[in-house]
Amino acid sequence: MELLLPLLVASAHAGGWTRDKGQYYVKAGADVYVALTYVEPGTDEPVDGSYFGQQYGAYAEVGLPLPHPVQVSASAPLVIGTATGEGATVSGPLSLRATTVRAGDLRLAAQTALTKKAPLAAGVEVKIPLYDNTTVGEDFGAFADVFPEPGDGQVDGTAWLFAGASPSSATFVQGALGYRHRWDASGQGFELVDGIPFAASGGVTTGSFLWMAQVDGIANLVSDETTRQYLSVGPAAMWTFTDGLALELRGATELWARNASRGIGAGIGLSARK
Amino acid sequence: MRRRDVLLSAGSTLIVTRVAGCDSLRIASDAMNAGIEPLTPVDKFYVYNCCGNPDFAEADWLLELRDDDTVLADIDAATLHALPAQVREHTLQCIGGNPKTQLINNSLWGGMPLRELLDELGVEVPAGAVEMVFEGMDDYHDSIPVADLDDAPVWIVWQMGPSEPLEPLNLNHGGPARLLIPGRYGIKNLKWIRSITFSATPHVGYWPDRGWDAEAVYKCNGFIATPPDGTSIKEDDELVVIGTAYAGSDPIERVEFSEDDGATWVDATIDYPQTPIPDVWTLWRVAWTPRKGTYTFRARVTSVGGQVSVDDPDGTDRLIGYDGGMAVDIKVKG
Repeated sequence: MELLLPLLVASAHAGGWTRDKGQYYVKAGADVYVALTYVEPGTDEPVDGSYFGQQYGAYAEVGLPLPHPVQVSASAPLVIGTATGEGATVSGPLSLRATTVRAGDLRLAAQTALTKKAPLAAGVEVKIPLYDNTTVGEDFGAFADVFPEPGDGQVDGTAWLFAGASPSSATFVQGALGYRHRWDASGQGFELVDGIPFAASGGVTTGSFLWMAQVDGIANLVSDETTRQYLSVGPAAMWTFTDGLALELRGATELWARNASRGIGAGIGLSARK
Repeated sequence: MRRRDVLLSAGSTLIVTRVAGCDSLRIASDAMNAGIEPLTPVDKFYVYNCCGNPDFAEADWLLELRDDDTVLADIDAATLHALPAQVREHTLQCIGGNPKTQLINNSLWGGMPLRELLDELGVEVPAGAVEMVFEGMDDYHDSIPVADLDDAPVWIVWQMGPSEPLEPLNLNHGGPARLLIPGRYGIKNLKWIRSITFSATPHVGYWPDRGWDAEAVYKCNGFIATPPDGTSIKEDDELVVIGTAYAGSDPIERVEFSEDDGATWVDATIDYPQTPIPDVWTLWRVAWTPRKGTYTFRARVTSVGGQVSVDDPDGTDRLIGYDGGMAVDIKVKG
């Protein structure tokens, strides 16, 4: 059963402001997710059972030593997903709780400022699964189906355009629009369609706190019966408690999803920036 | 990274059953001691086929009885189902069933010996026929020696259930009619049977063509149904070890249980049947007192005909059917 957690990581970073040489942003974080509607991966078919996910990961952005602002970023998580379901045995049905522990999706990205005069940037991102969904639960025989998959098993390539603005010294808004091509790396023969990912956020600073609202999602070019689409919204907050160090909190929920579960997620992280 | 822990919650005990790599599986203990129903409800009877359920209308179904060249007789579903059904109890086991999957179940079946159907239709087995070749609506096929017709004997059934009155055989279980072949694994017991050919030439069936045993005669074997492998329990927990034993048409005489990986053995209690019955599974149990430590449970099965399950818990060769008695590791905490 697919884990939607990677969305929490993807939506929190990148934007119109590209880090200059010597600048960096690193973060270690933990996220949890509870599915409100739980579906078969790659479909909208509801599944009897529940899902709870955890993700522990690190993220880093670094401005490259170049005359023009260019940054690269990377993130990688450990994903722990627990699903409940029923397994059939000769002694009758058993209530099961199956936990999958895997490295999740590796994300690598690069972006460059389009101009130094405004927060406009273009970037590319690739998501690579560090797991093999065909091996999930394989040691547990007939119970294998209960084990949740750590991700969608797809390789995604995305081209992004970022833009930002600061209406005042204490506020900002930024948005991103992209084009994503998906490859099925699961070996299960899924045919996937391309999509238009998007993200937007806005925030206001009060003292050492930054309060934000975020929205992100992806709309596919064709609405098929396999490829995931979703719209997620949520708040976030950052408390800079000392120079360059901050505590970050965020939450998110899918207002709409197709071929994916919907749920509520929350995360906490410790970041450092220069 | 390996993790084991025990979580107590109101109403049930969650027990870590097994850890493989970093993955883990927990089963509610109140389901562990539930026992095995001697006659399996239809919706709990295992379902397995090569190629998915076929798509057809029962009104279009016809069973042909043939020799290599011609159709000797045929019968449609309505006519077949109108024949008086006799009831027999019969256990099916999947040749691919192993300690992890334990694909074995028992049911009452309604139908008749195939020989009686042949007599009803006026069909005589052609001289020179050496094999009965079966074909199903899903294009699955296999065969058995023609001598099995009377020696087994082969049955054709169109009803099943844990009690009478039986219900019509549903699509999952091979309706409108399937075969029961005493003594041979499920791969021979064709579902959705659409033709029976009395052939003068040997035949290679679907699964034998893919490496599985062509004869598919049941091996003497035993499963430990509960507790599952890797269970961790406490000293004051109650544990009843339950399992199955089967050797096809050779009934089970004795089941033995070991808590110390085969060093010592005690007799298990046979719960079902009260006397050995051919083609019907044996259900057994052992009331085991937990003491702190680690244990490896084993089962050893002996049939009336003298077959004994092999000592290797992995069995001899998965392609011939499981012939062991399993090994289940458990840990008892103070």
